[in-house]
Amino acid sequence: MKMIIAYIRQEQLPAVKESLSGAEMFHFTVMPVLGTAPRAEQRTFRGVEQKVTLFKRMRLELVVKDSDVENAIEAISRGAMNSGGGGRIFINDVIDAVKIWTGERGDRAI
Amino acid sequence: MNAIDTLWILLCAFLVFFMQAGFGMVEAGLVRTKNAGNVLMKNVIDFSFAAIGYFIFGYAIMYGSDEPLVGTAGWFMFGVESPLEGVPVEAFWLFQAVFAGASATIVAGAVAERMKFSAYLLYSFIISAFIYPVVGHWVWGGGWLADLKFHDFAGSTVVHGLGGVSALVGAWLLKPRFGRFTNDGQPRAIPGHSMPLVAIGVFILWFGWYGFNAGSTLGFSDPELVARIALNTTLAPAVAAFSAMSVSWMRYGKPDLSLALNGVLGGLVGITAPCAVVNSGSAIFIGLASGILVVFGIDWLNRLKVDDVVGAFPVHGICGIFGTLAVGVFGSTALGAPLQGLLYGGGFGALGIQALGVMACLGFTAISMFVVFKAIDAIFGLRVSHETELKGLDIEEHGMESYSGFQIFTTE
Repeated sequence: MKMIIAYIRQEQLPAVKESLSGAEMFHFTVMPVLGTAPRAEQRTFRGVEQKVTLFKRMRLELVVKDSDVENAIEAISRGAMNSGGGGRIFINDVIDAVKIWTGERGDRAI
Repeated sequence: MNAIDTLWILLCAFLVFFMQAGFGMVEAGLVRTKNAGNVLMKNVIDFSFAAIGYFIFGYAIMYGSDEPLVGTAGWFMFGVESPLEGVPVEAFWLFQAVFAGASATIVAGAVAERMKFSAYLLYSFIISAFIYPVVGHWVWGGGWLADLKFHDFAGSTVVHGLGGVSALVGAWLLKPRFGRFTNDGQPRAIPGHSMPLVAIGVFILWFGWYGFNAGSTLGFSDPELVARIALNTTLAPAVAAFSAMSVSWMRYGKPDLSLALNGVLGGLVGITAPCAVVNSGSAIFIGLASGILVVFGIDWLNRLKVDDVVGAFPVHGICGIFGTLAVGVFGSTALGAPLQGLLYGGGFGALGIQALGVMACLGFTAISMFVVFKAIDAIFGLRVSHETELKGLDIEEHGMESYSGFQIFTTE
């Protein structure tokens, strides 16, 4: 089992969701986060310059069987590329999983 | 009893009362989430104190008797008679009391996010029970400026100038919020948390302003006058929204919503004094200039390192002064001005009287508010602790959150 963590921009989320569904991966979690960027953005508020250094991002998490890892990466990448590109994907090992309702463990609990 | 006049005055008083909600929304929207409840609390209590203070002391000082400096009879409204034929004094009192509330609440936005609640309580009682009624007496209560034919129809100076100057004195004495200026004096933006709240607040204020200006006729015997005022109260803020937006677009690269909304308010304040005695062309010019003055005024305060959170002084102070002076330029005796304006061949006489009135009223306001704020500082302290400022006044001063259960992102 692997945990896949992807950081994407807000506007990429609809396309990434769709491509994951297309790959029949329906179980994932999305959370809004703030992240840095290579360059700060200059905005003005009421005529005063504002240097924005933290930007709104989406963090997407899903746990998949080892055999599905490449599919998941491919689906996330395709969705991200179709909606303006960019982002990062990180992959962790997952030791075990438990489905509370049935007590099933491992791959069966995903 | 004159039912139509009474109905009109009461209806307009209710509209002006609703402006309190407008001020509340503008101020809540322009502060951070951690201080929204505190600024609303100040908006509730300053009206509460305005009603009480204006009932006990304010009305007597403003309308109790017509000595040149202050009225001296009618404490607790005891034994007062209506100055308007056929209109109950209670209706007249209510119309005046909601004006006192408007004047007091202007300050809350300028001193937001750092002024102690207890200090604000004391301030708000004093301004509506004593300071506002003195100026009101001079101009509207048969005082010395009324005798000189100074004309401020609905209160560009009496209500807004007074509130705006008090806001400036308060913001200046309180010093800027933490982080509002860098160590080398450059201004930093502290964005407000809800532009939709600011926008609904401005629309409520504009709506209420029809009561503020058109109700200041104190009757409906001259429908043409009421209609002219309503037209001017539409044109000036409409043009001011456009001019403020345009200036912000040219100077800062994008049309700034909050500056356009401040522009609306500036236009409304600017047309408040002259709304009855100028034609619609003049109202358009007054609106145009007011919108520009607001944006440059905000810029100017940034240079002076005065942290006026909502732009209360540029909107109410600068445009209040400008609108009052505009009476001396655009006012026409044909429309009811006491003196012919500069534009109509009246020379500088009217402008001189207007300038004298502005200096007297706002000079008195600045000095008395300086003393009031200094005295409060000595008794309670004006400003919350640094820790309270960082944690937010909602949780520290009131023990609650405005957005309990919401996840608030900070991008600082």
